[in-house]
This record gives sequence, structure tokens and C-alpha cells, in this order.
Amino acid sequence: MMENNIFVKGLSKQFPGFSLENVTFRVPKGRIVGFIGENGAGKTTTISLILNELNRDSGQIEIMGKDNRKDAFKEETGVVFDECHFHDVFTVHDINTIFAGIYAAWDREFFYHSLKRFKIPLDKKIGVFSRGTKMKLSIICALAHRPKLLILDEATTGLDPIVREEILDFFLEFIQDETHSILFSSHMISDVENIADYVVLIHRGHILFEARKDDLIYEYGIIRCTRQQFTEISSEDYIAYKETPACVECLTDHKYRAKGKYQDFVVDDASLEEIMKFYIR
Amino acid sequence: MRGLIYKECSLFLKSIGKKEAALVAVLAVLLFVRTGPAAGLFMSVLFAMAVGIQHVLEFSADEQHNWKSYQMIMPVTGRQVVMSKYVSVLLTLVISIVISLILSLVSFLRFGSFDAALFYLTILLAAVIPLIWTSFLLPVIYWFGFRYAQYAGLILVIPNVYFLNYLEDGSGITDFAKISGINLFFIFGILILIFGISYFISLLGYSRKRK
Repeated sequence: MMENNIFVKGLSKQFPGFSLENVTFRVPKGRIVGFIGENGAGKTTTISLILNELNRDSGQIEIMGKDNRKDAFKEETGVVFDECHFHDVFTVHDINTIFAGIYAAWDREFFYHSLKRFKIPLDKKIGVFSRGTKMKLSIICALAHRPKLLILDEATTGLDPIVREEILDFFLEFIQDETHSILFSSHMISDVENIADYVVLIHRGHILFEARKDDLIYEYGIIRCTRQQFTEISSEDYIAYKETPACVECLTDHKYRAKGKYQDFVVDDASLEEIMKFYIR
Repeated sequence: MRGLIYKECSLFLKSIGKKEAALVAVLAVLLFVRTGPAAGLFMSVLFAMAVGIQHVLEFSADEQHNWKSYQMIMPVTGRQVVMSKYVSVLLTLVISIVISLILSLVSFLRFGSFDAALFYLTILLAAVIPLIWTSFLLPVIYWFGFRYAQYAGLILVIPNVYFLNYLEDGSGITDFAKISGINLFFIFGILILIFGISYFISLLGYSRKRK
């Protein structure tokens, strides 16, 4: 049985006007889990609960086999948020000194090697860095203390495609170690589609699905038909449908069966983004 | 924890704004011109207050960068976070004392008179004032936030102004130097106690349950 670096079961948290209910999912070792959902779905709240920044109302959260309330996981967990939290007046040398004095496993060589690799200036203040450079620095800091688990909360949002590709390559190198895991929350569904092994979709505080990405891409499809043809489709053969001005689109989780059964209909592959939109609507 | 201490001390030095430094410099020059042989004392008090205020202003920088959220994911305890702040206060007392020594020297060179009581008082206040300011304001920050501390800081200005008025009268310096000299150990004992109580109150404030 695959071991998990993160195990969340029955997690619940109430806020005025919003609640997280019975959230359950896992992040296996050696895998990247994409955590997707629309704005306000509960992604950041779930991550805050996992990191023990918020108190949960009920449920279980284990990180590397231990209850997350013990805080012991923090030495082995790297976190990257959607913005850089380093003070503008610091240089990377200051960051190195600060982190070396906090993390027992801080790897100075890796830190400076990565700075050089990503062409991050050594003697300029962080305040003059571009957003992309700041995010690269945040990611390097998250990795330089040799964590086993990486948690990314919208870490690639707002970055240009070149920087995103560099960062995603960095993550793929990290995951080469089978004991490592990444939990990757993002609006950029294309990024999740590129690198995730598993996908978890959250909507209004509820988990809609937790599935292998390859299964989603392989099994899910969209049946496109006219309104008249739609009456011929059995409700068992689709999960959701939507009407467009041109046709009716039905999301099916048995694409090849649908192709065989509805040979006169158009059955296309469904992207992760399309699957998400169907589920949310 | 040494990483956090470095962060506090480094931020203290690097976040001193040019405008704030210029304002303090202008006020120092005014005091130098107006207060005669006691100029070293009054300028030292000004800089000691600035050192105390600078520790408070660091929290503004922390808030601006949402540093606390990032700090919560680090393997540091609340005790270490608060302790590092208080340790940095003690370390920066050295700066306050060094500045007061320099200012006393400048005053001596300008006015040519050396008063042992005045010199002693200058050094003493350079250490005491930042300690009192931070002992009072840091718990306010940890309990209620940086913005409340800004208002609370105004309250501290009032006794400082009265104290400076008291010292402006020549006998005030001599009397205060005499009293504090006799009771020096008592004064430092009280200060250590206040600083320690302040630390525990701050720790309670920082460690309050998350929502």
C-alpha cells in the first residue's frame, strides 16, 4: 500500500458564510497532487489547516504519519505561497543567514547553486526583484532545507510561461526522489495537467473528486450533440451536461463506451479544465 | 533561533528610513544648538527613543510582507519568535549606548566641559529608554497589533517630555544622577523584572489560539 505524506480525513471547519465539510484526500509519497477549484472554493483554507495555521473543528490530518498539530513536520516541509514574504530590504545573503539559523538541514551550497542557475542577483535587495524572480527565490528557499514534502499555494499564479516552465521543471526534479511529494494548489489548470499525478477538485468546501490525472484524461470525454440527439442519450452515460447556443455538451466518464454506443455523435477528449467546469456548474 | 535574531537585528538596521533618519538628525541639531553643555544628554535621549521606536516600526515591515504567515510554517516555536525579538532589543542597546558615547564626546568637544554626572546619566538613559519603550509597546503589539502600539507610543512620549523638562533645570540632572547612582542595582533589577514580565505578556499574546 502506498504511503502518504499527507493524509486528510473528514476535515471540517466552519466560518461565517463558508464551511469546509468532510474534506478527505491524500498525497502519496513520490507523487504530485494537483489541488484545483475556483476562487473561494476552500483551497487555501484547506492548506492553512494542513499547515496548522488554523484550528480544525473536526477530522484528521496526518503529515508523514504524524498528527499535524505536533508541528514536527515543519522541518521537512517546504511551503511556497502566492507571494513572496521576504522583506524588501534583505538580500539573498540575508535570507541565507536567516534560514541557515532556522533549519537544521539548510543546504547553503544548493541555495547558492540554485540562485546561480536561475540567475537571481546576489547583491541586490529583494525589493527590486521582479515577481517571477521573487517566486523563484521563494521556491529555492522552500527546497534548500531538503524537505520531503512541498506545498504550493498558487505558487505559479501571475508568472509568465517561461518562468512557469522553469519552476515546473524544478518541481519535477524534486519529485524524482520517491519519498518526496508535492501538493500543488493552482488556478492554472494547464500547470496541474502538465505535472500532476493525482487531481483533487474542491468546490464550496466539498471535495467533488479525487482521481488519477491519467484516468481523468483517458476516461473522460465530451459528447457533443444537437438538442434532439440529446434526448437519445441515457442519463447513465453522462455526469453533467450544458446547453450552448450551438449544441448540447455532456461530460462522460466512459469516453470509449460512449464512442461505441453513440457512433453518430461527436465524442471529444475532455481537458482537465473542461472536466472541472462541468463538475462545478 | 539565531536565524530569527539575525532577522530582527538586520531588519532593525536596514529598515531605518532616510526620511526618519533625517528628521532625527534635524531634531538632534536643534537640541545641540539649544541645550548647551547638556546637549549630549538630550541628543542621547532622542536617539534612545528612536531606537525604541525603530523596534516597533519593524512590525510595520512584517505586516506589509505578511511575514507572520510565513513564519508560522517555519520550525520555530512562539517562545523562540518572541524571545528573538527581545534578544534583538538587548543587542541594539549597544547601538544606543555607542551613539550616546559619541554624542557626549561631540558635546564635550564643542563646549569643553565634562560633567561626570551628566556623562553617567547619558549612558544610563541610552540603555534605559529603549528598554522601557519596548517593554511597554511590544506586549501591546503582540496582543492588539502594530496599529494600537502606534497610539500607545504617544502615551509614552508624555512622561518623556516631562522628564526632559525636569532635566533641563540644571539641578535636575545632578539630583537624578545622584539618586540613580545610589540605586543603580535597584534600577537595573526593576528594569530586568519589567523586561521579563513584558516578555511573558508578549508570549501569551503571540500564543493565543488561532481562529
